[in-house]
Amino acid sequence: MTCENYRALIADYVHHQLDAADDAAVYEHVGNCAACRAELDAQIQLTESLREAFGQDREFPSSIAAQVRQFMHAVPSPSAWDRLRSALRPAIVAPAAAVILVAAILGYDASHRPAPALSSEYFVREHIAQTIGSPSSDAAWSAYLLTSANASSGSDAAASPNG
Amino acid sequence: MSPRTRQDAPPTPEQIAFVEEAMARYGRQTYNYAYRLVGNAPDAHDLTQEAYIRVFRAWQSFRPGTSFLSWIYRIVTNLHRDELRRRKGVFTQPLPDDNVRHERHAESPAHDPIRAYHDQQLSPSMELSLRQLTSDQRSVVILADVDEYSYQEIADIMGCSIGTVRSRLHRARAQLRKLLLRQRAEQTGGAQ
Repeated sequence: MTCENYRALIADYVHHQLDAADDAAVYEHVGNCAACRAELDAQIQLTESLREAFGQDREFPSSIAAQVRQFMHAVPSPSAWDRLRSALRPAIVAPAAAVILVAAILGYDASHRPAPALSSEYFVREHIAQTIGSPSSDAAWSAYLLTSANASSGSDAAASPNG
Repeated sequence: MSPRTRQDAPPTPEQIAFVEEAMARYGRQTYNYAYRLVGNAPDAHDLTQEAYIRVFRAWQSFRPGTSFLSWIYRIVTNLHRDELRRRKGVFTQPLPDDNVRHERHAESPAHDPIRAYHDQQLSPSMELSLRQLTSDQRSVVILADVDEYSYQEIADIMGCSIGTVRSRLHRARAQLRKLLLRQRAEQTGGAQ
């Protein structure tokens, strides 16, 4: 092997990733070759520098665990579909549909029901019912009957000559 | 943090216990890996949090008997890659973090002014250089050199072949050396 071949193995040698035969070969070579020994020293220096720079061990922040716990126990936030589905759930939809149906039926019924026929007799009866307890009610009724009779007889009389 | 949706079924006690145990046992390593990738506390916080939410959602896809750390590192690596792509290669600037720093070495920098000086000088330039690597190169360097994973383990985490790990690592290290040399030259030139 040439020095170039050995140098290609030096990083793996530093990381103890060579098989036994290659490891022994590199070990022997760097013992005899100053240039490859310098390369080995430079590679070792780089690894030591990396460990110095990044080897500091930091505490695990308790806030991470707290936030992960909060996430685990959180109530799931519903999706848009879930929100729509919950808005359409039977507990809300059924009563709403019933109200709409009843309103529609009543509306239809009201719009198609014939208007009550109001006769003059209806108003007279209403009037009598309201004044029935008053002392003059009998007189009023008599007067009415009299008036009606008169009117009736009057109309009859008026009609008679024609009849 | 993405909100919980109806697709997230109510968690089972086993699911919650799984995530709790994962955070208790591996939270620190996960956070440190995320921190090394992004270089600042707020982004490392978000990345780690999102990774454990993924664990919560996909906990049943974890195969018992395999390495949980490899799995969570893979999640963090993928999230970092996606986020970097989304942000067009830029994470927020490194910020001084207020976490307690635990030195790997026995001596405390407070009692070793030479080491403290060395750390202060080295870290920024090394971080700056690492930021200039691709996401995959950065991951492979951190996993191989800082976390000391084997090529096989890195291949499992990154979902690629050992040959790819090897070539990425070689290229990344060559690039780092070049960047560090350039920075040193600039500092020397600037000092003169």
